Amino acid sequence: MKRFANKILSLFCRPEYYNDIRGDLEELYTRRIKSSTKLYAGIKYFLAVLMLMRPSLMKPIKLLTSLTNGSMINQYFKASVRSFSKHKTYSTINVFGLSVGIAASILLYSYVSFEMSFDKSYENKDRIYRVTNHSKRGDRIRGGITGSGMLAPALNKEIPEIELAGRRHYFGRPVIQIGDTKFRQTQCYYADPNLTTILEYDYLFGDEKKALEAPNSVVISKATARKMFENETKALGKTMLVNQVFMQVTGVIEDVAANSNFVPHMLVSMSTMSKIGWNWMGHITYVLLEDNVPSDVVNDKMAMMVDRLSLGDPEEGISVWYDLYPISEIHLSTDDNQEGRGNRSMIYALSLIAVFILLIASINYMNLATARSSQRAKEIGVKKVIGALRRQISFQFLAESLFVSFISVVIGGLLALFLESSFITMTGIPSSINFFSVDVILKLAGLGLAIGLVSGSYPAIILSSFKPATILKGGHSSVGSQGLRRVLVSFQFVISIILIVSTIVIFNQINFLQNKDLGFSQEAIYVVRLGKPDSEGVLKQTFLQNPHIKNVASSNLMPATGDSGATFSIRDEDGEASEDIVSMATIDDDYLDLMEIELLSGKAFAADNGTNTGSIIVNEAMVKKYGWKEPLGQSISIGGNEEGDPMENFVIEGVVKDFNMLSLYSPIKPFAFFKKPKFNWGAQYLLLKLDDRDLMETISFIQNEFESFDQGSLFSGRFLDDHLESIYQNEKKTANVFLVFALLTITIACLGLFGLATYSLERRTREISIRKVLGAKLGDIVKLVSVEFVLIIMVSSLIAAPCAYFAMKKWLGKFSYHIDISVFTMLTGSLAVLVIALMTISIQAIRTAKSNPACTLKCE
Amino acid sequence: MIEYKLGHFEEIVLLTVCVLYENAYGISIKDEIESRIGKGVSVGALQSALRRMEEKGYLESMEGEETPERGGRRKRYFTITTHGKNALKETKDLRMELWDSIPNVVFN
Repeated sequence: MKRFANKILSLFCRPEYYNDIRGDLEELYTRRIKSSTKLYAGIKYFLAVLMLMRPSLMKPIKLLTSLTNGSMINQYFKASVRSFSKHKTYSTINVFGLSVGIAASILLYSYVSFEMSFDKSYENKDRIYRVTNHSKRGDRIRGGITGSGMLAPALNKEIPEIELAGRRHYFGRPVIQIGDTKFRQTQCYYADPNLTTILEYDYLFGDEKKALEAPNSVVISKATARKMFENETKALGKTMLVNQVFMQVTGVIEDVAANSNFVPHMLVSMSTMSKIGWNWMGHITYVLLEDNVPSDVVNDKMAMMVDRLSLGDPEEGISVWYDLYPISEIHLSTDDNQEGRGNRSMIYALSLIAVFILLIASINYMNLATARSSQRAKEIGVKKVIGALRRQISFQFLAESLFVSFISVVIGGLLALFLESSFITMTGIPSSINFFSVDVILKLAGLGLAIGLVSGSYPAIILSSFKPATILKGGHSSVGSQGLRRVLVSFQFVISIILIVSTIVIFNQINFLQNKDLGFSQEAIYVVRLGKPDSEGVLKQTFLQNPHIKNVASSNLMPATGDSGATFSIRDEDGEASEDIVSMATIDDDYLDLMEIELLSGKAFAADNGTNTGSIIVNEAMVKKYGWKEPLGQSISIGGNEEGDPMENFVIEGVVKDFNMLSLYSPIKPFAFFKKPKFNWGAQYLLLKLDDRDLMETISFIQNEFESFDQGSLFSGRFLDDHLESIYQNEKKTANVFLVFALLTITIACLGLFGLATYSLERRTREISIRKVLGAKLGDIVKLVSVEFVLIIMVSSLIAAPCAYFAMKKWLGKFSYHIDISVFTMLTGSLAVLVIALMTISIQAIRTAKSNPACTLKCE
Repeated sequence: MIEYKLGHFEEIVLLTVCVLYENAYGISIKDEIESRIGKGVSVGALQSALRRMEEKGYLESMEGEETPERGGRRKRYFTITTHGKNALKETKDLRMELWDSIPNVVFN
């Protein structure tokens, strides 16, 4: 025991104290042996040794001393602080650039990490999949996430590898009535109990297994419960009217995280929906697989199930298949079928921008540090003569850059914290970084270290390579390859120009979309969503009595929102019949007139009211697609697929000019207008053409009339042009993000340029003064110093132009209607950068050029 | 103003060193303190206090004779320096001043 204790003691105790302490311990031990047992003395001895483990008596730890003992470290730190405060301009440029860059990247990081975090937090996230439905009919293949409502129960029964299968179905936006208050509820879905189990919903109140079992049961989220009943604890068991049907709240779930693909506010039991059959579509099916079951196995089993249950119809050429898609990949999926709402390329673009901004700021540091090297040369020379090793000089400069980068990280972090809320408004992301979490602090420290090392290593290598003899002899000028500096500056400007050109292109495109002639009128058209079925006739008459309402029409389609279509059998010019899905809308007599859709030939069915029920009006694209030379009188038919289902024919009565009823992402599709009442999908919207007087009054008239006529529904109306504008919301956000970051990059790049120009002017003060004495004008001198930078920017534009062109070409590719990127846009971008850069340089150049040569030359 | 920093334990150790005069080494100091305050003092606590005060310049030390019960190791005798005395005095003065300023009623 004693020997072991001694060993420990000798391990940690400072050698200079060892003998004394050991002596004391021995003395105590001898004394204790005399008065009690050896064991007791031994234990005491051992405990005493353990108690000796205190920092003041311990051997210093080697690694720590080399860092802390070190007057060297202190010296590095001191030198950093001194050189930092001595050169205020450079330090400010560096710290400002870096901290702005860091703030920007922190915010971009928060955006990117939010987008990447979608559906990643389920405990079973690797086992949860969503089913994709595919079908093939003839040569038409369709895919999508919605499918039959029978699929989930069948999967539960037929495939043992599937632990659970659940489904949901969109409910619409029901009008909820609780007591006397009425409101429209969004994010409302039918769901079965399995769905809430698969998606791991957390029940605060109610029974997870039973809540969604009985018909007319409703499960609401906590936030919804608070909205409806003020407090989530009061919600359970309450009843409400949902679209005039009584339903009872049977459960309250914790709010679903915003970074989920599916965020329901209200779930209605699936059993509320009547008669679900294989042809009952619109269901979205989720499955939870058993442990360690690969999705391929289940895909194969599902194919076998399709055969077993004969879901396809080979004779008719109809086949059906399903496959699984992992839930965590839905959000950023690039597969059109998955309806992922994330934008993968945007995320890549923003990550790149974040890296570039940091690089540009680091480059500023490198360039300024090497360009200023002559000022530090003497210091380095003297240090080397005294005996500093090259390594130590390198360390000094690394320490300086680390010092700057850590200050910048702190300022940048604070800046990001400060700007976070405005960033969230701009991008519309509900994310927030917890700046005070260990994780974030560690990451920031890592960032500071990385930036410090990246930007400090080049100056460290260059500056430490000075030969003391050359330096101290004098006549030394700055080192660090001038060429490399130019390359780095060009890089900064290449990035800036790319960003600026991209921003211009995005803004032009949005402008183009908004001003494009859609082929129909958008002005002063107010759209009202109808509630009660078949209410349009009465309402139309009521509205028309107001002198400010010039015309009223009804349709089942809100322009530029969604698509409705049906499968028709159509004969082309050669008489060949084919089946095709045609986008369509059912309209009434006044529609074409009100929307100012131009009739090219035939007649609008307005004239022969009521008699000509089997007629349709098609657009040019439809005529072109089927090659009809004489479109009027051609017919298309629907139905007749099943026995007893009569075939219906529709004769083309008129052709209208192409218009874009969908969105400008897609090209103009064949489109057909059907007239009511023969083909009636219900009028869901009333369109009202208003005149421009007393708009507010007219709208409140519309609202009053609507509400007194249809008490069960909520009034919702908006202007068509507002609605069309809101469609391009996302593009506008993209444009804003690009604008902000383009401005940031150019600012940081120009800061660097400013520093470089200041430096090069300082060095050339004498030259400039002599030139002035000899008669050079202000312009000549500005030209003298700017010419180098102008060349650099011109080269940068040449490099940037093709990059920007290809990147933007790709972005524009997703729009069917887009602008062409002109040389003019490219030139504007480059010129803008050139002008900004020249202004930056000129500020300093003019100041130097204006200084009195006598002052600068007198010290010679 | 207090110029010298002296913790409570340090003060006790320093005073004990004075009490023991020329016989102040590790164990004797430990025994003396223990006998006065009636509580055990660990070698570690004592040694680190001694070394700390030596670094601060309150104590000086020199090696003494070797004894068999120490396993043939020398004792290290500690003596107080002028600096240490000043520290003690100042601490005492401060206390006395405070004692003197206490109104009579308090301890009646």
